[in-house]
Amino acid sequence: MDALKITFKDLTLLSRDRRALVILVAMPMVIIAIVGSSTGRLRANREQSRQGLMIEVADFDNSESSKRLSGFLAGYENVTVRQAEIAADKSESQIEELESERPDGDIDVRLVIEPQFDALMRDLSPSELTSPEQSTREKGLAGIKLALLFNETAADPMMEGLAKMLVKLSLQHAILPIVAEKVPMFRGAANRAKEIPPPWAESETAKQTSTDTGNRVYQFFIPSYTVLFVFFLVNIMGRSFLDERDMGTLRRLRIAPISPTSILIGKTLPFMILSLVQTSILMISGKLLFGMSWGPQPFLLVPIMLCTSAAATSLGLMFSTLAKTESQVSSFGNLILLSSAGISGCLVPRAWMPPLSQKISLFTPHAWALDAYSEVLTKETPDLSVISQSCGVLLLFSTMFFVVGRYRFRRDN
Amino acid sequence: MSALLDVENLVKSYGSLKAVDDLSFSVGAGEAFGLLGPNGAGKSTTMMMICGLLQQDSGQIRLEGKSLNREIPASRQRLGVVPQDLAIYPDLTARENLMFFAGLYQLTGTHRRQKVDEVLEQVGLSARADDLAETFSGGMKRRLNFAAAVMHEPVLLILDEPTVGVDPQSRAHLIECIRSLQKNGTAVIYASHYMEEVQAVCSRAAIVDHGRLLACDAIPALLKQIPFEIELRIGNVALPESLALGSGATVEKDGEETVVRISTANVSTEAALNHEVTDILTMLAKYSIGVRSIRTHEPDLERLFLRLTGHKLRD
Repeated sequence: MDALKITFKDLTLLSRDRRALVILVAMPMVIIAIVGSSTGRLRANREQSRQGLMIEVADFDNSESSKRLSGFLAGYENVTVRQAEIAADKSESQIEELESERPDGDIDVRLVIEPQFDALMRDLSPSELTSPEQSTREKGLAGIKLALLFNETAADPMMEGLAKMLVKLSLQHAILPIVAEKVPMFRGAANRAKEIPPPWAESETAKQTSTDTGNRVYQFFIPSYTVLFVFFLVNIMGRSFLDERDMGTLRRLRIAPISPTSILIGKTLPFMILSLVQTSILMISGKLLFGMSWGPQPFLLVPIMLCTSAAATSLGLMFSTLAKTESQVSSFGNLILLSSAGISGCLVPRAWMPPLSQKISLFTPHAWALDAYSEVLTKETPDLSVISQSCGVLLLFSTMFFVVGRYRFRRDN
Repeated sequence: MSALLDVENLVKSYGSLKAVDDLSFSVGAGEAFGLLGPNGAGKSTTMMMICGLLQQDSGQIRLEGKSLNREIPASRQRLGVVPQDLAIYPDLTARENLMFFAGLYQLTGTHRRQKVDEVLEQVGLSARADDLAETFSGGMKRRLNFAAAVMHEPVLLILDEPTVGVDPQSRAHLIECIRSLQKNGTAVIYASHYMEEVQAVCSRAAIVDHGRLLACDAIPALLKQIPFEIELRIGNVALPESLALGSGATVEKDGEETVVRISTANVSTEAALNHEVTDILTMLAKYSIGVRSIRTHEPDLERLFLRLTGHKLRD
């Protein structure tokens, strides 16, 4: 009960400290938006991440070959294929329009497959299809009616080259049955079913495209920056303790008939509440503003949020009992924050780190929190053992920090 | 008077420095006890040990016969402490500050609200009860600082320089509040460098230096250690050698001026002192030496303090 009195008092004081509230809530959102827009895309601008390629296919032929072409394209990793809406009459004007106007928005490349694509392919001679002479093949393929257009705002020579190569490879695979009909030696290859993807409309990618609005960039950024900013509490808590010490009220609390543990819990709880509010706001705004997905089992986020907040506030408590001056709070606080954020994978995905760095990162609570968030947010079926292990380690960190903080607090004087 | 607080053979060292060295004193119920000493004498350390902020190396502190154990928070329930430095939340109102501290001392509900209102009235802050403490003057903050320590009606109130930096009105008001509490049975330990305040508030006092107790007694008894003096200033005049002063008088130079002092330290009785003064004045008149001023120096704690602790500057 004594702890709750201190908690209520600190919450009142925090509610009057607008600077701290801005740092804790507004700043993370601003930074997520800035970093997200510079490396990914804002929801309002471009839905999909630049980490992948979004190809719009306008299939005016709708033949087995054209569907196979789309299917092969969709089969490549990090390539998303979306079907363009085509009028029932498949008018020339619509073809011309799609072939003349560059794609915009979140579409990187548009592939227009004109009518008669399949028929023209079948009309090609075996030599035009398989000649070792490039000029002969090109002469034959020149008649194939395919058009490739690139997004003007996302103009990138590498992306264009990559898209052309993917279309070329997909085309080769798509026409394999036709080639096999004309050149028997290709029949073996054509019969290997695994090399022939299902027609586009039935592919998994096609099924997902219409519903998956998640943004992969923010799937990483929001949890990372949420964890990073939750640990920003270390600084704010340090300052709160320092203020209490400077105002002489910490001494008054210690003189009062309450235990040191109650004082510490009372001083920690407001920041735990604040941290949970901060995380909730970031998760909600992540979904609403940036299109982040909460994964298939969002309720699993709750224990992760609680354990992460517990670890962060306990670290803040320990730090508060160690830092004695404003400059110590600023310098050591920022050092702890930035170094642990860098080591843990808040700034750079852990998967990009060398193996040794990945192991070292596990000495930070941030890394365990990120692992747990990643499991819930990115896996189709989150592994409960991974989440419970991460939460367990976070609670261990929390206990360890609290015990050290309590020891320091009692020794203080 | 039965002892409310017993401090026995208290010792506290910081490394090789003995901050408190075998200190013993007691404070009776409802008694106002002055604790005097120069900076670094061990007063604050002693008070911190009584409050439970510091653990003594050895010795006993008992309140109402029970040991004040730093590990048992409830043992501090009957203590009130007014720290030297302000210890209030500037971003809370006066009422919020007091409600919070009252809650820590287990005051609840209507009783808590009533006590807060009562104490606000007592320290003259009712009109500003709902203003943030940061908007208060120094004196108002001091009064709020005081109020926060007395809401739970402690049996022992420890005041560490409670009037530092306040205007005379606030000082007088605070001293009146302390006297009022004492009349209602609250014992007071009053540490201050303002000796006249200690003399005005306390019935007994202890003087400590270098962690040791130099004197501890009722204030009148302490003052008996200091002589009553009469000082005659006669200007820049050399006294004739034939002028025979009595044994109770001394002559000294204060710059250009000759000063004749007659002190109870050198005469046995008040009657002898009166006789001595009359004799000297008669003789000075006989030699046509005019007296420029006559001053009396009554015994006070400051003189006793300086006599016991010396004039050497302290850090």
